[in-house]
Amino acid sequence: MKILVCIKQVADLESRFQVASGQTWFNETDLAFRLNEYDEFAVEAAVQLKEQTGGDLTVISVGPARASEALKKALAMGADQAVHVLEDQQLESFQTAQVIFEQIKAQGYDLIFTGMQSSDKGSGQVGLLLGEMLKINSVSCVVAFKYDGRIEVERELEGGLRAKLKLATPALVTCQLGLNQPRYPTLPNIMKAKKKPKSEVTSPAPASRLQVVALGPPPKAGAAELIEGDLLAQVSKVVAILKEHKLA
Amino acid sequence: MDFGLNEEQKLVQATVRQMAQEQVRPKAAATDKNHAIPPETLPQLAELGLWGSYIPEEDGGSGLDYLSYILSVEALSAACASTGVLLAAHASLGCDPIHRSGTKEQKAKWLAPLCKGEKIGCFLLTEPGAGSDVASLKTRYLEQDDHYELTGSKQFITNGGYLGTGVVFATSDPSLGHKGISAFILDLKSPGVTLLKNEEKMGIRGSFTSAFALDQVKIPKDQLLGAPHQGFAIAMETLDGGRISISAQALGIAQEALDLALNYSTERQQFGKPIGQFQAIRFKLADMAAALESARLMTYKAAWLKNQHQESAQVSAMAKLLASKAAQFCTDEALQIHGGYGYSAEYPLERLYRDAKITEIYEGTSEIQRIVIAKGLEKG
Ligand SMILES: Cc1cc2nc3c(=O)[nH]c(=O)nc-3n(C[C@H](O)[C@H](O)[C@H](O)COP(=O)(O)OP(=O)(O)OC[C@H]3O[C@@H](n4cnc5c(N)ncnc54)[C@H](O)[C@@H]3O)c2cc1C
Repeated sequence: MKILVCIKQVADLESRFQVASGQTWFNETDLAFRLNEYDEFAVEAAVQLKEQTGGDLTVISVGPARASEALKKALAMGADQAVHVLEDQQLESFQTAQVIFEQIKAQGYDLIFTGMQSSDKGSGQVGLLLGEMLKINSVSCVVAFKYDGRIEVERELEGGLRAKLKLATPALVTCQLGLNQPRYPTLPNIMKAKKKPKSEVTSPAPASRLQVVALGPPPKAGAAELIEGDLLAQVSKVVAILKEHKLA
Repeated sequence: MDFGLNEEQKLVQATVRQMAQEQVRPKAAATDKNHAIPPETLPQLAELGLWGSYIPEEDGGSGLDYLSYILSVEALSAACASTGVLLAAHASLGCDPIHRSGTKEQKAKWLAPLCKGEKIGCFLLTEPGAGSDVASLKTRYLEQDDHYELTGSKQFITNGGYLGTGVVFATSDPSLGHKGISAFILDLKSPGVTLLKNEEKMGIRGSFTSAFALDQVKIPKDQLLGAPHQGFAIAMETLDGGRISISAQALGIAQEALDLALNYSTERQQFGKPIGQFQAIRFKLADMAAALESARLMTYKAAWLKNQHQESAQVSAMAKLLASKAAQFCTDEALQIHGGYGYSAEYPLERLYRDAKITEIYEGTSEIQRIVIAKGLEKG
């Protein structure tokens, strides 16, 4: 079985994001980066599948030099080799999917795992676009995964419902949080990951179909005021406020 | 000069931090209260490969570089200082001398199980009458045909209560001073070894600090570590490394205190604003950060030197002196920033304050660190 996981390195969500005026991406200096949380579930699912069926597990990431840390983590968790497509620009989903597609189209992967979305951009499109480009079955938002010749997955729906689906390989699965329990890479495996094959390639991205116009925090909403005291005090306060705003 | 961590070091740090925050930190208060590290923590450390630390893979270890090991102790200690020293004493005091001075056979027999966490390591040097002045130790050994026989007592032994594998120091003749001391590998379950008590302490209460009586303990000849009468040198070299791990423990405690203080100072409001807006509080935070960061640089430098086998007694002593002082200072100031809540056992500050103190005492008091540093100055 040939397995692929697509991962992204993202800024830690606990970072304090600052966007310089006129910029369309936040300033990355001094930020901590990590493997996208959704992708951790994708890597775990892929490693478990590899442990079950044997085979070969490749991890791929499109991103700047620092993304090599995320690839290292996936290798330490159990991937066999890594492909790093060096890219310093912020790509849109279609571009990223296209770049990955160009790298892997001739590889014939039986199963491709991606995170459901990246926690920094959250478009949730890369996996599904890639599935379309490869013309293979895709299923998104997966919270349970089984393989026995065919794939059986559960998808999380609104309203607390779960849909159970079966599909044939080759297929692409995008992984929701909670799909499994991503393992900690063990310390010996972290050290061994150094020795696993890792290739760096460049691949020109196609033109973007979207233009990011602006990025920033939403405008501050008006503050709510909590009115306390006994009933009479509360009513008088409300009346006073209404009068102040000439609403009564 | 490069002050950055490499990829492996960052990944080790992030991994141990995550594990420690998720699995160790929630139990730190109970560990202190119950005077015991919960038993399930030990296999959790094993799963990650922490017990094997920087011992090379061919000896059964995890093959970390030394700085990665130090980052692990720091991350673990930030979550729980008792758990931090459990690893630090095991690896730096228990495994290290066997790794450095042991024969191939000794490593296979004793080091490999230590690296898997099947046995917990410890270091038996201190005695009731021999603390800073270790050369005055009184535990005697007699050489017999096929074994040595040890009699005496040992005091304040970290991890002793696990009754795992220790490196024990004894003299063939006290009148020889440090020249009479030899080191031995000791199975703490051997006949003649009696665990007298586990100390009740001010801090790091989850960590065993044990007293032992040794009564005609038979140690097979092949458990002599290094050459006869090489014990003092083995002890000193071991402590040079151990001090770096205690520095890392101190850094973890200090970082936790700073993080808590920073957080609290933005949340706690007095006089109509967060206390973190008062300059008096901001200056405290600034001083804490500066003390912590300089201690960290010194500690990482000591680790870096050890990693390339250029360990320096002076650099290790400076690291421990600075880091233990930073831990003491940061926990004190962080407690002060928490006001009455800092003093209350509802908040973790009083525990951190108690935990920090030991870093100025064990593996050589701060006075002893200064003696080591000053001696280095004379050498020029
Ligand atoms: C919790 C804990 C865990 C420990 N774990 C271990 C362990 O695992 N293995 C082990 O072997 N030991 C261990 N120890 C022992 C520890 O290393 C000693 O307690 C320490 O080295 C100090 O020795 P002492 O307590 O006998 O103090 P003393 O040596 O009696 O010192 C008393 C005071 O005198 C000062 N002093 C002593 N000599 C001088 C001098 N020449 N100049 C100036 N001041 C001096 C000291 O700095 C100190 O302030 C542990 C101790 C504790 C409390």
